[in-house]
Amino acid sequence: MAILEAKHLRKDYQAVNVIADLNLEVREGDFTVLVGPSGCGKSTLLRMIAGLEDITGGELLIDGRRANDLHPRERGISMVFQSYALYPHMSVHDNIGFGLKLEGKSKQDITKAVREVADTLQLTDYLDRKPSQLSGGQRQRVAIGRAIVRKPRIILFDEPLSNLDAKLRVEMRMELMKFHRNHNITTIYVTHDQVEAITMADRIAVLEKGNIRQFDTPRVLFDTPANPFVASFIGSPQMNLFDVTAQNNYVVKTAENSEIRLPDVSLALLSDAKVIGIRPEHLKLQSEATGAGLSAKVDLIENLGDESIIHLLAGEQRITARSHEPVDCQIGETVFLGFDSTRAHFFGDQQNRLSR
Amino acid sequence: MTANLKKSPAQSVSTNVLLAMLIIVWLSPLSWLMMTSVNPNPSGGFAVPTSLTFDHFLTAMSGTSLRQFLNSLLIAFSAATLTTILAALAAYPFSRLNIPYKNTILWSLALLRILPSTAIIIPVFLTGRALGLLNTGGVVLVLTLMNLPFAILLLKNFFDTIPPELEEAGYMEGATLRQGLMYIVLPLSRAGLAVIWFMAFTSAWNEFLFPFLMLRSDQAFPMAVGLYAAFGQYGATDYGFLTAYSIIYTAPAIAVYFMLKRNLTTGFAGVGVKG
Repeated sequence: MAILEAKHLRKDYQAVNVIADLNLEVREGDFTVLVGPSGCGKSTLLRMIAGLEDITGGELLIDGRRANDLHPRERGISMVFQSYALYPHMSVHDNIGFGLKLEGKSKQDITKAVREVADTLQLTDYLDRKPSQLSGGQRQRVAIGRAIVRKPRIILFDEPLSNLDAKLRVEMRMELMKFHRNHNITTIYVTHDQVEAITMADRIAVLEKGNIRQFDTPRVLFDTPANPFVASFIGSPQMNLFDVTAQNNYVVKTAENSEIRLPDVSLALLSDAKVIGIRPEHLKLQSEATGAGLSAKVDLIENLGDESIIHLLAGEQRITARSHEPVDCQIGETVFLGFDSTRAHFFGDQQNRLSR
Repeated sequence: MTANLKKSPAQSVSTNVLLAMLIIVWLSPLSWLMMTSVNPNPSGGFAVPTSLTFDHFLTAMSGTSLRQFLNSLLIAFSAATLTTILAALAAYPFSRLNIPYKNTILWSLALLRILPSTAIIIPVFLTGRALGLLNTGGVVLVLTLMNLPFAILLLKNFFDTIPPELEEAGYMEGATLRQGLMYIVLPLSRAGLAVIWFMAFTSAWNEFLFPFLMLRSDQAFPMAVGLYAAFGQYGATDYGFLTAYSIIYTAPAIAVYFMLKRNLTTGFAGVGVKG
């Protein structure tokens, strides 16, 4: 069941249009991630859902009720900010209880509710401390505690992990996933990091220039991206994309004038394809030019221990391949990059995905 | 190496003597003030008293001079409090809203304040007379107006250091603008507000020109004007009374200096909210 629906949502800042016509349906209990490059409008969308930004046009429905003009408190939504935005002059107890205090709850009620939340988040021993006396992980838990103490229907997260170092980020990510599993509160989470998106989300909305380019499970986004943008955004290293024009004899020519051989792909598909994508892990360095593939010159090899990232050039076009086996080639050498053509992604002239 | 840097005993003695002389020169007005104020028979010359008395202080803390001390307190306290409240209310929108020509407005206010205040005594006097404000209330108003530009400028910069996310977090939890100010912005600005208050207090306490211009009787004078008026008031100059009065006059300023010093470091460094 949809707990939150955005219908033809629009956002203008004076003359500048940030979001043109956006539709989104968030299911109850889901962990939904909004992901996209900076400036794609994901944070603006989150702030519109939160009630921190006015909605220029369209409708926002929460639990089927129009929420465009509701105060954040009346929306049943709470939010965890990028910096956590804990009140530095208040103790952990007062930070968590602030919203209840504003509601005019009695001191006993506040203390009881705060203690309950603190217990579930293992914050009981820190209730008298100030935020500056807490570690990064504890601060995140206080921010979450503050968000859940009023029992919201939806929690919003605005890039909460982006200020942390790599190690802490992984730990916090796991904490958040556990928290969601235990409490099952509908969550909308904004990030620019596709790894975060893939690891945490039930469903991911990939945004570009204020539009949702695809909204589905991580698996579907990875396996069948709907357009070249999603294809290149999801997955690391990112997918190799070639602008192509069809030639005869199962060969397509790239914009850089190199040829990709695709012997077992239908000619109809080849003639429609304008962009072909192949993930780095699906490219294989072959000594012989057999099957589907293309020739490229080795430019650089990054040895990461358990795997190698090989950077190649086909004309001027950069290609990335990833290999879990030892790489046996020299820099400057021309090799044949073979691939299983069922793993290749074909996109038409409307940036649409072509089915095989 | 270090042996060369060591001074001979003769050198350090002469350095100390020199420094001591310097201190005496620097402190002589203050030590004259101190010694005269406790001297039972002050002559006006520099003399070490043979016996001690606090009678001058008692005289200075009674009658008209006590009244003037209270006037000074009232004027400085009111002007400082009014300045702080008005500056906070004006600086907050300057910090948070996108007002056109914001910086130009702020800096032109500051420019007005940099002009010598003596230049505006005539319009201030005439306006005061027309509005019936040639009294303590009028003095408080003028001193507040004089203090406001810099107070707004400083507080605006202070508010800028408080992340708007904190207020947004409060808003999400249901705080109104007033509650956001009361519970989040102002408590975080305590140091900045204290600095503004102390500065306005000191400046009002020290002010001579405008009270002198706008107040008519020695019952209404603050200490700065009272001290001036007390010169030769009773025929001969009463040095004991004047020095005791001067010392009392400096005391609040010194107290405020020490309080200010404690707040100044945090006051201008901003809130320092860690992420």
